Amino acid sequence: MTIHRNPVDDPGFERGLQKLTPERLSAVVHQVLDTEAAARLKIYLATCVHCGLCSEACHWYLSNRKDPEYSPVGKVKETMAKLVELRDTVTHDDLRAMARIAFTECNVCRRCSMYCPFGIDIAYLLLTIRRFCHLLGIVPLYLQDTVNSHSAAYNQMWVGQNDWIDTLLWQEEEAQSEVPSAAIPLEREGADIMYSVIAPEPKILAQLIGNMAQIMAVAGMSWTMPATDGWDNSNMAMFSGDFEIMGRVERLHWDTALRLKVKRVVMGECGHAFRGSAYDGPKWLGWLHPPIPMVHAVDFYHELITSGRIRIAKKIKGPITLQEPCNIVRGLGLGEKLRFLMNAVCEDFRDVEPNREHNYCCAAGGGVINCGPIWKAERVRGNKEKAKQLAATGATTVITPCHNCHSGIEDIVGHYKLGMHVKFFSDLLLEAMEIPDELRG
Amino acid sequence: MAIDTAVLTSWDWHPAERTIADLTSLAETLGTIVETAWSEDGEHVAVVGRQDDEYRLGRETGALDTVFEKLRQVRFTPDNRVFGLAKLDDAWTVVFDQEPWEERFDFAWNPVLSADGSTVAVQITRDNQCSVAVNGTPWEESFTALRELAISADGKTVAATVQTTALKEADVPGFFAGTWTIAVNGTPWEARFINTWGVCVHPANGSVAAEVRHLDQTYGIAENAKAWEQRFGCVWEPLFHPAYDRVLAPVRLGGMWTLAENGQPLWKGRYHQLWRVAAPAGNNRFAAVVAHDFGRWTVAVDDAPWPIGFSDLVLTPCFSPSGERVAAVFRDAGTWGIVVDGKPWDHRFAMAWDPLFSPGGREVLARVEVEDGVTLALDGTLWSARFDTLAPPCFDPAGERVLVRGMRRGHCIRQVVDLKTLRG
Repeated sequence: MTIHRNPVDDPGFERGLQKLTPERLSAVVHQVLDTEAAARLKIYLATCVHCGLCSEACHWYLSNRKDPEYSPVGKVKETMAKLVELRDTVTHDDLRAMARIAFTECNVCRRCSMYCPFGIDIAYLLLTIRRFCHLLGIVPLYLQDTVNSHSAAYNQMWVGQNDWIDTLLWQEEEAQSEVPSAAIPLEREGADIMYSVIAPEPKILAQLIGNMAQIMAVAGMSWTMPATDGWDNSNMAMFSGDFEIMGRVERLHWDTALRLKVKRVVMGECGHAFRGSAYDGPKWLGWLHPPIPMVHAVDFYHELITSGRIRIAKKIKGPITLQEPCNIVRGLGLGEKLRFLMNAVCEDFRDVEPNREHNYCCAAGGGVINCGPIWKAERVRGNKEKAKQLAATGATTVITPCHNCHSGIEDIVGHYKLGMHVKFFSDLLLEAMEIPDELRG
Repeated sequence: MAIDTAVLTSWDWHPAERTIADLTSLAETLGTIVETAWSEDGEHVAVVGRQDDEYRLGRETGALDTVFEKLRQVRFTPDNRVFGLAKLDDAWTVVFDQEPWEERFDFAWNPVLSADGSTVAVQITRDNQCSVAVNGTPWEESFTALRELAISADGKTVAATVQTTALKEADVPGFFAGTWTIAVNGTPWEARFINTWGVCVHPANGSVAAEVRHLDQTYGIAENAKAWEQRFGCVWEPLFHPAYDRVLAPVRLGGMWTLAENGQPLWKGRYHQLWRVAAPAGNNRFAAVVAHDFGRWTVAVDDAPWPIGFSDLVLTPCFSPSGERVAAVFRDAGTWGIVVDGKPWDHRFAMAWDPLFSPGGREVLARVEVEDGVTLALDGTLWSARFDTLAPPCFDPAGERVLVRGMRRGHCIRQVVDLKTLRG
């Protein structure tokens, strides 16, 4: 079947294809299909009856006029089913199509698995194709560059160690302009919490770190941040199929927390980073679960408000809606806590429909937005459904407690002219929380 | 590195408790105390105070005069000098007892001190190039990036992971052509790799080893610029045996981990994970943390895993001075503990730090956090004293007393206690 999609040339695909030898292809097919994937893959493929019930679950399918080529089962048919059938006789065109589908047309959000009568983890099948492509060197250029950054700099945006520390010192000063006693304690061994973030924060959204310094000061928390690598909890290697780099990144993140002797890691507002730190990374490293608790920012804010450590002084006016990160709502079940937070700080929270674990992905997650500007137009087209969903709320602000969601929703808001501001929850909390007079200095 | 016996003997081991510094009083002149550091002998304390936008160094005797724009990561050398990273006139440098190095940098970070206290090396940037300054003198070579630093015990060898070629945005082919290597005392190895990590220096002879990712994306170990011939699915950082000319590293073979030497598997065991390798100065042994069942963690000594396993983690094994005994921190079902020679102490803790054997290897001491504070536990028995924080404890040369350096209600307390007192 020919894939009827707008042509997109990704130099990352051609780089691998040019160097590909039949021997390498044969070896990688064997490695992936016969050793790494093995029984789980066979069971999934043997169980699927091609009923198509997964189709309506996929935002790509819904946004592309219900073209069956974009249905999860259709994507599996053109990728894993084809690979299992053809093995090392797949052509370069087959490989191009597989890479495009697996990397850029599936957010591995796992909504389809909820609608599969057998609960087949379809995202796993597409991730296994990504693993296959990674081993062949056929990876979208910008995603590979992000993974290279992870491998060399232990963060996803080539942030230098000097820039990291300097940014924290700067954001400490910024926080102190609002709350003079605020601090960003670096390398404080024995603190209760290590706070970890993802690289866009020091690189382009440094104020979010300053936000957290104020929140921690008001809440009176014992916390620290590392002045070494290991501060970035994100992991695009998990999505490129480079599990060796994925494991390395996660190991350093956890080793940094263990070196600082903290009781738990609290992470900023990001969805995939929770998945990498709490599930995929630890499993590859031999852990059944993270070595110490990992707390997502949404969970943490909920704890601060319900415990009375943070009090809400005034609610935010205006209609506000919500984008729910798949990895912490469908994956972790934080939907109710997220709604508690929204209602705690918003006068007019407009819920989306469908919501909670049934919500749609932002279309940026799963490494798709990291495939870069080459794929932006396709990605935005692939989530028209999300634009419709958000527009129906009539909200003028959308909260996205995840960096991938944030960037993806900003693109959709711009393209579909939704007229919304896109904010993180900490932006709202900072506006709404009470800062006691004694802390204002 | 263990503190020299002659140095230890010169310390005050009279059983007594003394207040070395009152932080509340120091804060009156220094402002908010943002850092505190202990000297090894417990006789001195250094603090960093912040008042408005000014930082000053304080000692137990009071505030010192020099004002810095920033001052951070202060520590003592073994001979009781204080050094730290300071920002002066919008440039960074290292200060020793308020005296800055002459050289100034756009940024300076990650100071490492040689075990003998003779050398401080620090990562620096100038004009967007990275390098290392050693005792105030920058390397002649500078690099696009420089991320890890290691130093020999005598300070004569400083090694770093460096990127030697600048790449444009998203230059994936350029990256995979190999831009990373190891620089030793400023001179990069000839070979280039996709990545280099885990650089380490032999504590005695200055040999350098590191993890490398080869240009074919396989993994290996390189020692003194020469890579092991064998390639692996993955490796972790190598370790030099402190007393023997051996370098070992965890390697991944067929999806399982083992310990290798010079490219060949040294251990027969295959594990779901193997890392945190340790070796004693006292004998020719190795220990590592392993997952012999998926999600169950223990220590393997010379390839023999302890029968006991823990659900959450085990930290790097600690040997007795002779190398005969091994202890480690573990976490199991959410609580922390100490396991010695495969047998866990009965007590569980809110946190536990690395255990320490007495010089004769009979006793095991550990800092632990319990409900009402931080204390010491000796052979599993909790000491009755409580502190807000504790620096690492130290045995006297005879193994009869312990030096305690702790903070309690704003007071820095030096205390020498005998083992009988610790046992209650």
